[in-house]
Amino acid sequence: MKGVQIMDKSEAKLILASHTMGPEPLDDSQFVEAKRLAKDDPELMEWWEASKRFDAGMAKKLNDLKTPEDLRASLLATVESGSRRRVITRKVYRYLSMAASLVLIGYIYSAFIVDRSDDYTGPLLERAYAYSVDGPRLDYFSKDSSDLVSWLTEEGFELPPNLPPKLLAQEGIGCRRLNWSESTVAILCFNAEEVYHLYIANKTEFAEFEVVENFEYEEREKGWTISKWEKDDFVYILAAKSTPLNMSSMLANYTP
Amino acid sequence: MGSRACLLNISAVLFFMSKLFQEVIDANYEKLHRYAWSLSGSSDEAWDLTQETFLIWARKGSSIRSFKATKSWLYTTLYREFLKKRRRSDRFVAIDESSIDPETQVMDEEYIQNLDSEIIMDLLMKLKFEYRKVITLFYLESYTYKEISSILDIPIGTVMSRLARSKELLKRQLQQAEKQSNLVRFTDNERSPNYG
Repeated sequence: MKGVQIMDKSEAKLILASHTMGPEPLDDSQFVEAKRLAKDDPELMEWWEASKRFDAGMAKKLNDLKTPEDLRASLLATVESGSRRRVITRKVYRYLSMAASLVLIGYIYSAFIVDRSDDYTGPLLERAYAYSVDGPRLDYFSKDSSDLVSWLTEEGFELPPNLPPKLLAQEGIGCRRLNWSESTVAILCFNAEEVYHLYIANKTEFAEFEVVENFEYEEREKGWTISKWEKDDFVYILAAKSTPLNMSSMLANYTP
Repeated sequence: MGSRACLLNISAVLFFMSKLFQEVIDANYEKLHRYAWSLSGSSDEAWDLTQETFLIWARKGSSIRSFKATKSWLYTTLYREFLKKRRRSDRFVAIDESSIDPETQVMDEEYIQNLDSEIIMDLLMKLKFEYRKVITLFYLESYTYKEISSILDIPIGTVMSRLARSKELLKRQLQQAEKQSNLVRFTDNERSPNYG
């Protein structure tokens, strides 16, 4: 009986250990024999089932390992350029990312974190304009505009029910409650390519606020535009480094 | 018209190549990086190895049509590149097999589920290189021992024995790690809100 060998349990284990994941190779006579042995041997079968579960758990864990975020972009650049600048590329990516982060942090710090709100005096319109140009400090940040409204409400600022819908549809940046002249003013910032600063205050607290009947857009220095209006019991100021045309589009479908 | 058609053809070829590069990279780069990580023990070195592998593929291997063949080719190339760069002495301290607790119990799957992937990788790194290169390929791609044998260019029997042995060592390491962690394992009753 040349070539015929009887498979023992340890040999069957060795074969079954190699087939714990993926489809079973039913055309492999050794595997078929090992499996037959396992069917007749509950202990062996139990060991194989436990091995399958163990291997599935290990495979999942290994495949959960995170790869560096910028690896893909670097690979694409390297492969398409066909160059060996991989280390340089990676370092450049990292340094550029760090530099960009620092610039961004610097911008956010100067634009939104440094509190200069008390430096401004005078009429509400001028105060809001100057504060917008210099960069307001915000207390709450969210890309979701509805979050800004919710946050201000939770902070006790009673916002009017109808805010400019087009403006609210933009990506949010942040908001804050300001205390100017012992009165409360809410500022909401939106990102619509340019930053739009919307100030809302209670009309009774700013009785001197001059409002015209219709929307009025006033162009200021360095490309800034401001608008002001009142509605119900509130006064509004909108300031942005934008054109009157763009600003008017932000107030579309909105009637004071 | 002739030169315009020629330019259009070149553009079409470049577009096709660019798309091909992207598809192959997207399909393989994460697992290749993980495999390179398991070989080298360093995410940074794994980055370089992965990049080198794709660079070689772009120059030599991009004519391979089969997706499966491309994947195997990438693993083989990465492994060979690693061997080229590997220092004479393995800088990793491989686990001393004789020091392993001989009592191998059935490993608790829940314990594995609660471990971080990085810890699993750390435990893998304690295995000898010869075991590690086999078992990681097995776990990452569910390759059969025949495929692993072909990729790493080692005999099938060797792959089988290393695979079985490395799994055994890994289980024992996990048991030891569990013992050393001094964690109190809660039973289902103890975990219930009414307990205590």
